[in-house]
Amino acid sequence: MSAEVLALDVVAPAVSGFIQGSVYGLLGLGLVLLYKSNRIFNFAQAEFGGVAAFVWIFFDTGRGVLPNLPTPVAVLLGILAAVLVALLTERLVVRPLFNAPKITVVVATAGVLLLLIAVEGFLYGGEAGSFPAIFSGDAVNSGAIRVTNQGVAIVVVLAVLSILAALFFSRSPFGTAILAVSQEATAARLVGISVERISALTWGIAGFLAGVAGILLAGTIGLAAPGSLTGLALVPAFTAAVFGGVTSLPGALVGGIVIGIIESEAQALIPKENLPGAGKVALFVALLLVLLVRPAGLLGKET
Amino acid sequence: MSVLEVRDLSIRFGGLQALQAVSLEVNEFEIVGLIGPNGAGKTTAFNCITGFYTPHDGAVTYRGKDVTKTAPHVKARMGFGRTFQNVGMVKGATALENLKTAQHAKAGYDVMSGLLGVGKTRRGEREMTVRAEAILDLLGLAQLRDKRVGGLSYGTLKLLELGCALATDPDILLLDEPTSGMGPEESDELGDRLLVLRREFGLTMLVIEHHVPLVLRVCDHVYVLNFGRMLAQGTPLEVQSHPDVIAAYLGGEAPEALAAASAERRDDRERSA
Amino acid sequence: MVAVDTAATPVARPHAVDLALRWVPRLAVLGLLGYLLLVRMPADEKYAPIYADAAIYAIVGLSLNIVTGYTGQLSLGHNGFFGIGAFAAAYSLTVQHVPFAVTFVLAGLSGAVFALVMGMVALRITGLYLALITLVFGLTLEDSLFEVSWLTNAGAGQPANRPEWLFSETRFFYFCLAFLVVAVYLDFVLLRTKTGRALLALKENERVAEAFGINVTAFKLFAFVLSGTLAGVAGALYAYRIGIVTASGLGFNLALTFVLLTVVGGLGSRLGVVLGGLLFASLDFVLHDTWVHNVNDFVFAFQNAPQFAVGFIGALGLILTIVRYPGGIGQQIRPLTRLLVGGQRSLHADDGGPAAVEGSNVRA
Repeated sequence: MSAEVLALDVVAPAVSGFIQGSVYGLLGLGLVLLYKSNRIFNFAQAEFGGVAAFVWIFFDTGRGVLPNLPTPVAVLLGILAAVLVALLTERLVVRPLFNAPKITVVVATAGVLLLLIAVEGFLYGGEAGSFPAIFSGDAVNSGAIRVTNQGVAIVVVLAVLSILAALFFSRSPFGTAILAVSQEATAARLVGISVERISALTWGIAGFLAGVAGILLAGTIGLAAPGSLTGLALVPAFTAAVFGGVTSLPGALVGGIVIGIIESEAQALIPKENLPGAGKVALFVALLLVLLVRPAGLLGKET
Repeated sequence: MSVLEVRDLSIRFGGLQALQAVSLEVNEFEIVGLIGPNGAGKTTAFNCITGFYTPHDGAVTYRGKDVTKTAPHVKARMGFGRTFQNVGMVKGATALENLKTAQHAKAGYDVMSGLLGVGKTRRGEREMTVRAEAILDLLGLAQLRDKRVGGLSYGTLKLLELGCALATDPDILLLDEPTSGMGPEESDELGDRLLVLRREFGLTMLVIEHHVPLVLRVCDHVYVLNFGRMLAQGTPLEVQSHPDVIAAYLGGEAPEALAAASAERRDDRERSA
Repeated sequence: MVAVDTAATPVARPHAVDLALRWVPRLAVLGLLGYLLLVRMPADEKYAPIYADAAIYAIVGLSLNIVTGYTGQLSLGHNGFFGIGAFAAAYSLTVQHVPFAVTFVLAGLSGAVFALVMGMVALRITGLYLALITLVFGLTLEDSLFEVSWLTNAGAGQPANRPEWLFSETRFFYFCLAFLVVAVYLDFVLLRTKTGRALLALKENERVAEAFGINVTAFKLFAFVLSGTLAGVAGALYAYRIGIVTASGLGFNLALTFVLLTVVGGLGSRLGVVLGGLLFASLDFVLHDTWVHNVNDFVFAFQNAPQFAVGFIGALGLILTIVRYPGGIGQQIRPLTRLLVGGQRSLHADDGGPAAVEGSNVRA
């Protein structure tokens, strides 16, 4: 294999997989947090990001009756919307089901997902549009390998957020409280931590992470159709979380990048004529193997 | 000839030796007691015998056949009827349905003809209902026929559970604390019932029991477990006066015994989850 | 014989009023059903496709109910079994020229085979992880197998043309209805025989089931296979209903719609699930014709999007059902069904109902 072919077929997908995987990692981080605090899977996680992306684009373009706002403000509003939706989900759907079987709560989050897609559809009108990249231009462009500024921004945001998350969970009282609740809810209640408030806070953080991820990913894929974020990123985000054992925060980030690269390489190396949707198949196989062989995940310790 | 023979049974949970070279024998038509302080490993022994746990060492023989690694549902079909310490029934279903569920292996029709709903199925269903009602009558529970099991009192549940074990058409009955949740009078009555069941159905029984008067009255032979080891055996009277047994019961709530009990219970919960 | 019966069960002869109370509502419902099926629907060539959809959805709902309602395993991948059935029927008919009737057998078989594989996975992976892996299974099929060139007629979609005698939409509806009747009957017999009892027992406590001599592994697989067969056959009906099978429409939304109609219908409730199918099949149409045109224009100046209205109402219904009425439609209509069927003994005890079935026993 010549160097150029190698660069084109192997390195280029690895680079784009790394970038895409960073977004999966951000979403996976939120999934892990919610699993730690509520012991559930949130099927609406990727669509929280979808809501952020749609709100951002509506304000950015001044759609309908909305004012046309500067991009940074619109982005901020988008992330706020994601946080708000996450908080509402916690308050109206998850909290009333605190003592319900976990499966019931999971189906309910799937309902929230459908609701969000429907709301996006109402607002957008059903025809597909497009999301602009927030950061235009290329950082690297050597023919075979191209890295956009948006891609660089994604990786930088992931790095910054993961450092912040690490600090938050090791230093801040709220962060340690979240971890305490996730380990032993009853004991945490006994020492005066409000499990309800911690739950709300966790959902807020998960919404924020999803909002950031959603806006960044939307700018990368361009296509704006209701539910497209879920279609693109939900399964990889879950796979990322499971890779790390659903309870490990760094595991989710690393898992996200690994998953991103696996998906991207499979898509690039296996011709569509032989196996359509090779990326998805690779994800399915990876998830199945992890669950069958090492249910605690590759980096997971606690269960 | 012995119906059930257990040789040198050993099992560990993590670092805890739950059973250490436990041996016992149950002969035809005998009622054998298995007693011991909490956490002694009685239920663990039951779970090894009925196939829910696979022992690390030792053998379980049923009528001359090695059944150490036989799956629980296969053992149930061979004639092992059992009850559980914390009541094993389908709580959402009625007493009648539970008794019919317990007759699964004896339904007289297979799954496919069951789905087609042919005459054989109807006959089988009718026979199962008749048998279930006969068992309810036998235990004096006829009025509970269509009551949901979940709402019944604990003592009634234990009795009904015994009925379910009977409905599996067992050869040997393994009863885990059949009198828990019953008052002294009810316990006495249960003792009579066990004797009647042995006579009427030719049953052999292994019984875990705390209620000493019952053990004295119905058991032909008694084994005493302590800390996973067989401490003593003999007739009820011999065992009752055995110095080791008295010592074990007086010190029965020693810290080690409690630790063993909680480890066993945790393991139970994990497996039933 | 009669004398013995009365002696054994000394029950007072039912009063004429009781008889009337019992039979008047039954006859009324039967009459209404008869009117709908025999008078109203034959005249409804325009609405017949919706009725057909309802029947197809109801079959899938029953199928999902077996795995999720009876054995307590949440499957989010039934769009996979459904899609496989649809493609199997279309491909065998159009490419392999297999007789029409045989295509249904092949569709059911293909659904069963894939369900068997998922059932084996479900032996190792349970609870939330099973929900996740089944979801990914369905989505993966949508993007891979359902895009394979030879199966999909090079991506253009595999045609599935009905035989001439089924051209009439009304007649096709009755055709689907016949399948639904068979499915309902199967479900009915299932619950009333040892198989259904085995499934409910293993759902509640696997160890107790084993102590009763029930082969838990075999019955878990059986539930998946039966469910997959039903879903596959429903997929075949769907193929003939729309005439051409493509991957679009067999994806995520369908997977969630199936779960939705089963949960909103009421897990464990046969009639509830059937009504759930009817609800979701007609929602699109009803909303399109009435609500959307009038309300949506008014709320926002954006374009109409009726398909999202369906999702919106459906999702709201699901969330409300789960949070407020966990027993679904099945639980809500319980007084009515009890009145119609009478004080008949059911496998589910009366006070628990579908809520109890859906409730604490689902393994998480």
